[in-house]
Amino acid sequence: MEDIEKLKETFYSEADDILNNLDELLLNLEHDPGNRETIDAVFRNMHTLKGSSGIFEFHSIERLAHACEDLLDFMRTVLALSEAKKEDAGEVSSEKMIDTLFVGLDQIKDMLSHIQAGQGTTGIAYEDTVKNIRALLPEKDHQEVASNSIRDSGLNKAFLRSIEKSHRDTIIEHLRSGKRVFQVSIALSKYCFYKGMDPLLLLKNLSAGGDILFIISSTEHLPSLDELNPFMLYLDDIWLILSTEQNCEFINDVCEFALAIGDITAHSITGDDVNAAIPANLPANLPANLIDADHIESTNRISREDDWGMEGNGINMPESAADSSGLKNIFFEFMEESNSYLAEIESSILLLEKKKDDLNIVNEIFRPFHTIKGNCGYLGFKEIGRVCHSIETLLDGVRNSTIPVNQNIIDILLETVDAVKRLRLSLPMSVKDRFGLTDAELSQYLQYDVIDARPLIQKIDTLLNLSSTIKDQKSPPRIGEILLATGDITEDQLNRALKLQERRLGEILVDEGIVPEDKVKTALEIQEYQKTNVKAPAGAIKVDTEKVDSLVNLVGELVITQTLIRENPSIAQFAGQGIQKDISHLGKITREIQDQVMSMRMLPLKQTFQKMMRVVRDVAKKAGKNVDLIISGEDTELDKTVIEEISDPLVHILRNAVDHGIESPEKRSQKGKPEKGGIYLSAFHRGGSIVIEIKDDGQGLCKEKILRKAVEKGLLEDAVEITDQQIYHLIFQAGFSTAEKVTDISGRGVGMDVVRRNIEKLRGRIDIQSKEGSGTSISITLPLTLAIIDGMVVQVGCEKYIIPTLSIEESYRPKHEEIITVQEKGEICNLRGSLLPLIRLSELYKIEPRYKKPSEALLVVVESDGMRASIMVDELVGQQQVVIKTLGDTFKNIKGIAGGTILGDGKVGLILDVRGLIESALF
Amino acid sequence: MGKNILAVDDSVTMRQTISTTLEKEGYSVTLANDGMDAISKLNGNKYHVIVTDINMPNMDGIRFIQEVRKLASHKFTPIIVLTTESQQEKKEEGKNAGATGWIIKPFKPEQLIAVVKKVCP
Repeated sequence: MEDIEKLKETFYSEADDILNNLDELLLNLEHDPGNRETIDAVFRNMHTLKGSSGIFEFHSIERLAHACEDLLDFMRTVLALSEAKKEDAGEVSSEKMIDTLFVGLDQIKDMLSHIQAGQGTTGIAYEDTVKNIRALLPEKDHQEVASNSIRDSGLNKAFLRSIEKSHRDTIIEHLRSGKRVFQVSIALSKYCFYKGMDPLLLLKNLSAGGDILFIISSTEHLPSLDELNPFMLYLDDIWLILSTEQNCEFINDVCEFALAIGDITAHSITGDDVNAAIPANLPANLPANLIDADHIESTNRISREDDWGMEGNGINMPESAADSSGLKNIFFEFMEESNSYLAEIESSILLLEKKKDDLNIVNEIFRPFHTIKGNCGYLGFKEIGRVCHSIETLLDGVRNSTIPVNQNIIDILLETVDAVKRLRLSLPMSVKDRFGLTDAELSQYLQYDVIDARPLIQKIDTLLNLSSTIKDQKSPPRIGEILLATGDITEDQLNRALKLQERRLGEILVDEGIVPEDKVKTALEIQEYQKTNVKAPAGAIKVDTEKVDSLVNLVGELVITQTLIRENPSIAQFAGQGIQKDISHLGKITREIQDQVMSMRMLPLKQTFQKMMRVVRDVAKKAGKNVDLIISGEDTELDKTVIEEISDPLVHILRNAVDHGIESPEKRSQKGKPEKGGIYLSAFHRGGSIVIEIKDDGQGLCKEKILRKAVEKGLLEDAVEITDQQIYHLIFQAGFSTAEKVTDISGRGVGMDVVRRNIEKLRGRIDIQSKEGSGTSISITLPLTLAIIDGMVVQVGCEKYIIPTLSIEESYRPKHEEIITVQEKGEICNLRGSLLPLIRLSELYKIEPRYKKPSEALLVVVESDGMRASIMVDELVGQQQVVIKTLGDTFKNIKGIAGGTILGDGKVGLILDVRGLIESALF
Repeated sequence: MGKNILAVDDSVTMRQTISTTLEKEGYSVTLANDGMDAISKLNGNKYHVIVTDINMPNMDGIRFIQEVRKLASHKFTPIIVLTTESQQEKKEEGKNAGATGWIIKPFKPEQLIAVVKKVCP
């Protein structure tokens, strides 16, 4: 057994931990013997050890651990006693007890190492220790809690009597064939579902080991549908006859758990018991002495109409004689009518048999069945109603051509007609009283013993299921739909019931006065807290973020070192000795480690996105808009820090989208748009970055208004040629937003500058696309991780700088005439007609460059925020992933530098902050 | 379709025993170290049966069961308590808190399977 060996290994290592813990805990306990928490912890560890060693049948350890556990339990008890009582109990000092525990612990250690070494534990006198421990304990009063087992309540004669003859015959048959027959009663708590107990499951388990010959339950406490709580058990007593080849133990075993929340009885029935029961059909002749006083009540409760699905209790029984004659007539009429209907059906079926594809005939069969069903519901003849209902469903399938008419269907239809015929002549005894029939009248209609219609219904259902699984996988209709279809409830009632179901538990509890409102609120808060805070995917372990971060850091160093080795000139000398191959392999593995470690910091956007649902809903409500937020790509993963920081900008953008983007419902319908506005929040990968897109189908940005506002604010000179992109980016200007609070202007802008800043802090960028009248789309491009960037290493003089690849557009060598010098603006280069400021890094950072003329050097065109500039460098060294190191607080104010990194040759390269550079060149 | 089972125990041996036993039977088992951990694993998931120890740090089994019964998603889920014979009163406590059944430690694999099947066929 490989598994067992593996498990044992786990056990050994766990036991090792536990024993170490125990050592420490016991030492603590010695210092502070009265510390309840320490005792609890020792107990828990001991307990775990006991349980685990039990699995592998290390009984010696188990026994000793058990003894220690008892001792600890005793210590707890003593601790809980008042001072005075301690005097009585405490002949034994806690010192002594702890000493003994130490002895026990040492012995457990010994035993464990013996076992691990493959030796037995025979050499260890643990039994003595157990004895010593037990000696410290007071005499244990062996009052085992009586284990639950089912009671034998004796024979319930009334119940047996209520079973009709055919079933009693079956019982006799079963007894003759050598089986045991039990009378079982199950009474479960109303709230059993809340303990995970399903009475139906109990019945299924019982029938798995035998046959349930007869079952009945009272529906007396079944409320009307309006009041019905689907989570309550209303069947207070279930009585059944179980035939089995097993003994009472079997029932006990099945009911073991149910016994904890209810009462279950069983009694073995003999043939004499059955024979002694008086035929139920002749209640008038019941000798008084046979009525079992104890069970009168339960007989009353047991109604013939046991019920597992249908509702409706039939008409009420009127008391007065005058009414009863009317009732009698109704009864007779039903009998008459159903008789003729059945004849009608029968002839239709025979016709159908000849013309199997004539759906009109199917209708001819359907209608009378439906009428009979309706009548039965009214009169309370549930059994017939149920059969009719089943066949109706089948016929409905035939009508809708989902079930083909074949001989099978014809057969079952005829069988149903026969069953209904029989059923209406074997109505339960209760009809006599209910309809005020005389014995003579009754005998006319009680020609048969009651038959069980369930097998037939089952047969029909099987046929139905068979056809439906073949035809399509449509889900079955809901109970409400069925009830509505059968006309048992009205649509209003259904809606009311559904609403009841919709209500939250908290509301119900408050309304019912079970729990005060503030309690529910706190519970909700706890729930919310747990929802947001503890969300680890299945099979995951929790690791401190700090550990992950330091791992990320170390891997960063590893990457650097790896590069250092690769680029080391002396290594390069070994070319051809296979070392290059190994180094590149090392490089590959390092990159894989890096990827893996990076992914450890990744979290899905799901929670953030879900939070947005609420934001949109609230804002929409406040602004009187009708908005749907459609989310996609919420499984996209992002660095944890990014996730934390992205939430606020998203809220801003969405708020603006709802408030300014989406028009009011009236306006929308005027424009011919659907009243409900749509905002699409999606996330996806593009290249090496993650894009979060917020799209709406609102009114879009109005360029003229933005321009006008910008000019007004002095952000822009009047006649400047400006691209759409640049116009849109104006709303991100700091000065712009404040004016936007006046909402007569269509743009967005409240806090948009903050949004931009936040996103840029994450080294992301934000773009806007908009079409007036049909919507705006804002996309946020974010790096996958914050610790590493893709950079282009450039050389200026003897220094190397890194430009983030994300912001590089192109690089080229300009012609001499493309460089223009403008007064007070410095140098400008003309790139295919657009003028870009030229930034000389050599001047900025005071380095001696290799080339002074731009036409000899290279220009790297960079972009940030829709602003562009060209950076002059000596040469491009190459593209590389670099690990970002901050320069520390001392250098945080340096303009144009975002951080540093260690390059392959061991030198430090500075990472350029493109936006900062452009800003310093432009303004 | 395999049934999902959540097993909660602070002992790694016990956890592995449970998962090996049940996974062999075709169940898919999620493990949790204690009640707190288990609550977080209940979030957004649906388990057919929950098996839990009583004595655990952070959140013990009794509290855990009480918490589970408050969750709409697992209000009616069968919960099996792992107990030892020495802890009759704990068993009672577990039942009161809303446990469905129990199994006495140490148990044989077949016993565990039988109990799980009993509450969830």
